[in-house]
Amino acid sequence: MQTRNIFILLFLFFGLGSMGCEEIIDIKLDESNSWMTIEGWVTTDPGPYQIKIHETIPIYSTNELTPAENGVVTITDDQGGVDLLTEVEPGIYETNSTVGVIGHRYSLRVEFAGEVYEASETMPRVNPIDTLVSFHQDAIGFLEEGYYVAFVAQEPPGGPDYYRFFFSVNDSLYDGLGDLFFTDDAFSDGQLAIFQFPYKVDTSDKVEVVIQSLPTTCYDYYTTLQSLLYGGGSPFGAPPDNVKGNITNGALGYFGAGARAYKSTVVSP
Amino acid sequence: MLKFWTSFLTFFLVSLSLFSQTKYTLSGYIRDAASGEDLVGATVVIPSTGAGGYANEYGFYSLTIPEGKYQVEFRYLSYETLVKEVDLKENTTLSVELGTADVKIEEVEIRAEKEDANVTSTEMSTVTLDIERVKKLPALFGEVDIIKTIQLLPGIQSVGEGLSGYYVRGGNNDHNLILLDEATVFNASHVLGFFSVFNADALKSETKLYKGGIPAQYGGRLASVLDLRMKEGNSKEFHGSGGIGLISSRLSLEGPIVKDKGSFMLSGRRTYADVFLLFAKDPDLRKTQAYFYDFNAKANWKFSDKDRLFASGYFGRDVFKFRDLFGNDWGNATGTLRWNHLFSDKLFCNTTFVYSDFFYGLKINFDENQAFTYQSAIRDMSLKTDFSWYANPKNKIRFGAQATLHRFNPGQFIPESDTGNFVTLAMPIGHAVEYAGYIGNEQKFSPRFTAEYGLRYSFFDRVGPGTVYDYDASGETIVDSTVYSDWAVMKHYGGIEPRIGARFIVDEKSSIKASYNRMRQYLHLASNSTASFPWDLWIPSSTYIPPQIADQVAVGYFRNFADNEIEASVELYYKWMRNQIDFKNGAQLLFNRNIETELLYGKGWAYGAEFLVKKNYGKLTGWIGYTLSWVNRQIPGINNGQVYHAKNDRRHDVSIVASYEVKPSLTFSATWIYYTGNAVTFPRHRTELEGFFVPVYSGRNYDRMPSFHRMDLACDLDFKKKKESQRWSHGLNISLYNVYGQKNPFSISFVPEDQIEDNVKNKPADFGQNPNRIYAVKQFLFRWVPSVTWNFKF
Repeated sequence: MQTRNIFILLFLFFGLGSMGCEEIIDIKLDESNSWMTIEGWVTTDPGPYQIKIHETIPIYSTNELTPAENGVVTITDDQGGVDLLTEVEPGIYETNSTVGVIGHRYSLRVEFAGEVYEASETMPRVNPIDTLVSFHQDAIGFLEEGYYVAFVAQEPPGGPDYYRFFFSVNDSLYDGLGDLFFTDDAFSDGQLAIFQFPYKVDTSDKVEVVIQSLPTTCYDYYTTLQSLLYGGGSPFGAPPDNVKGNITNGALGYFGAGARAYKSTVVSP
Repeated sequence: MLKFWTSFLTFFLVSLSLFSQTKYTLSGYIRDAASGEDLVGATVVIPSTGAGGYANEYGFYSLTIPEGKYQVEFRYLSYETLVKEVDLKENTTLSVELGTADVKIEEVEIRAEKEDANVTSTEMSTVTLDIERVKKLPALFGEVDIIKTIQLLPGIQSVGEGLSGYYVRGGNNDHNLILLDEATVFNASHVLGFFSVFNADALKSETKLYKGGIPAQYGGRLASVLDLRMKEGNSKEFHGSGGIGLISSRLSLEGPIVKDKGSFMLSGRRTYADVFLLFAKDPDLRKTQAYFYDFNAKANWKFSDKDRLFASGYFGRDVFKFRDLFGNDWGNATGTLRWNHLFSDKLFCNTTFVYSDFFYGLKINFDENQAFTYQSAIRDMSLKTDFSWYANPKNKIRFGAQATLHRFNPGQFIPESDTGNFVTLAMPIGHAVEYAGYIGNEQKFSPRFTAEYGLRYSFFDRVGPGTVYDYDASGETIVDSTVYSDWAVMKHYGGIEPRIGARFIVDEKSSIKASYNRMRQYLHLASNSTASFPWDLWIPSSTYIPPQIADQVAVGYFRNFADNEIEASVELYYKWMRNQIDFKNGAQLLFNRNIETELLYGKGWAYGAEFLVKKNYGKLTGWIGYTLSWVNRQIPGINNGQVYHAKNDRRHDVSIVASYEVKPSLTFSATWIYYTGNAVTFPRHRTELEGFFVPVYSGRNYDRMPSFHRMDLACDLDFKKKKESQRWSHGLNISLYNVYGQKNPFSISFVPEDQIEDNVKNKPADFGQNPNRIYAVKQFLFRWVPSVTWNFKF
């Protein structure tokens, strides 16, 4: 829980407003070694897929991350495919032949500065989005009155299954801190699942929604990632730790395989 | 083990049989002259022989001495000492009442003898507070909070500013046993920990916390025991008291049911800031409810000099509602039924039935498809019996047994409708039974040397119905499972817990004490935050979760100055903790049938020195405490298995508490505290993941929060009574928290420039030039919090 939420709670309980404050301070931190960061996905979208490889930089540095140049990056699949990726920009490597298919297993291997980093995942299933509806809604819960969008999809029974939802309006993706929606199916296993996005839209907006299936390890990864995005350090938070995904040799980041289901609509009055 | 027990018992019996001259027993109760309240821990001393004892939890004392004429002194802190002439020719019952300076008792001689228990008692590593004095000290929002005052004593540290959770000698927040009339209070705080659930008006004046040398009758937690007892209620006259404060109001009523036969006490407190929300402009705020309340009740009845019955209960809730969309409530309920029975003037017995329950509930109702309730709870039912046997002048034996049935509800998620978005998710209810038996003796080996030694044996059975999973070598994949039927033992744990304390009097003014104790803890709070949340679950020891065990040794030097007006002590301690629990990265603690797969186990150890100088008498009272301490942990899976500082590893901790009584109706007081910042984990590097700035950490607790210091002031004023005989009296308590406005960080986060909000202060001149730049931003909660509380009594 964030300290800011504590301010709100104290306000509600005691009517004590503007008590808490925030201030920039100077905290000296010792130097430490840098870490590898590797990120990339194989999806059911047409390729090429990108793998980004960087080294971390000191916390107060104002530089860009250091790209890991001239690495040897390959993706192989369990169908016998071997793909040597091409570095298209410093630290960004693109596939040449890999095709994402549900149920196939993909393995990433990165050789950089004498070290080897590996990860592999099987692409999980996803069901199509049955309907995407827009509707007008009175103020409800914490949402204002206005137009909203919700999708309906049949969650396949069994599992566990994990998903991430993407939302874009007029081709612009919501990618802020609060826009990382991911879930398991513990509460919706085998159900007709309805998810309403908490975004107010305008009539005639073009809305596109994506459901992407996630490997099991990704759910944990996103959970820790999300806790870090909001900053640790509060007595109410868990002790922060690095976001370790599924990549070997201590690298940060995640290599995933996910199937994507799309649906779009135009908001009508 | 059997051999050990046999020799232990032989030792007992030998020491009992050494005395056989003609002796009689002097016994009775020590009570307050004005209210009839039992004076727990009052001492009875016969100066001519050096014999003495103290009143137990129910005010009962018993001394066995040779026949003869004696001057017997009864003493209690802040009461006048009473001296009685006793001609002991047979077993004699002598119950006495002690008065404070303003309650004159006729017919007896009163001496200004001062309590020397600091030096003479075998107890060490204990903290005793007088609630009446605590009420005069500064308090956050004017809410008198016994736990926050306890945090001002050496060895006891607050988990964070304004929070009522505490660490004792390097222990965790969940290592503290908090008892209210012997009932375990599972979550002793309101509003995420900012206030304790204990309404000071409902408590007996003396409160005791054991941080070491824990007597054998207590068990179940590693670090400390806080033994709170509710007032019995005035058995002589009907009285009331109460107050109106900044955030809450209180009212207590007490009086005799039949004079000197039985009495009752009722006490309630409720916050009311949400009442003002009714006048808010925002219609949503008007429909918001946020409050907490506490209700305490107690009654007792004396059937005869030998039998007395007590019934008491506590009920408290936090309630938080936002329109009809969101409702949240949580709290404790406890009930205690006690029967005191005197088998003889040497054998006192108390039998107790205890009920304790902590409940957490959440209700969401956005629309019919998005509506559910969530509940979790823990409930204890215990039966215990404790005997005090005042065997002879040199031995006081305590023994007893207890049995507790624990019931765990780890979470029920229930949708409002079958057709909605959600499915029911019910975690299986779990049960466990915990038993303990103990025997202990306080033995005077010589006038100078007294030892208190005892053994406790506790055991714990996790019982069915339930399922135990078998895991593969990774510890995470289930390969098999075993289903247990009702009451079938799924896992058994048990062991011996020795408790030893010794005191050697060096001279009249000083003594040396030492103690050793082992504690076992079978319940664990699954919380990976520093402060605890009401939705955190207590989990039982089970097949994969062993009990936590702690061993502690402590030695101390105790010395009084200025005719016992000033008490001083130095204590050194070392504590070893085994099976310490920590959590894996991103551990899922709720709705997890395999919670054991999220845990990591290791060891911890803590050591330090505590210095305390305390002045109990005169116009100026208070104390200065200093703690120098280290707390280390080593857990495979954290920091590559290297030793690291626990979060509560605070090197220095200073507290100064001073009250100055200008006149009986006017007291000024001040507190000042300083401590080294907690060990914390700050990022050393940065990266980007999913397009977001992400901090990169080198290891757990490598860094430190800035040190913390704060001063608070208070003024306690009683208004003049019109006539001395008038019953109604009232006064004000004015507090100023954080007098010099220190911006003590509650938390520190690392934030990219483009996410820093406008109201963040102290921005550098070049702010705004590089959106990628990271700043350390501290959040602080309380600066200059003034409060006024109006108190009354009748």
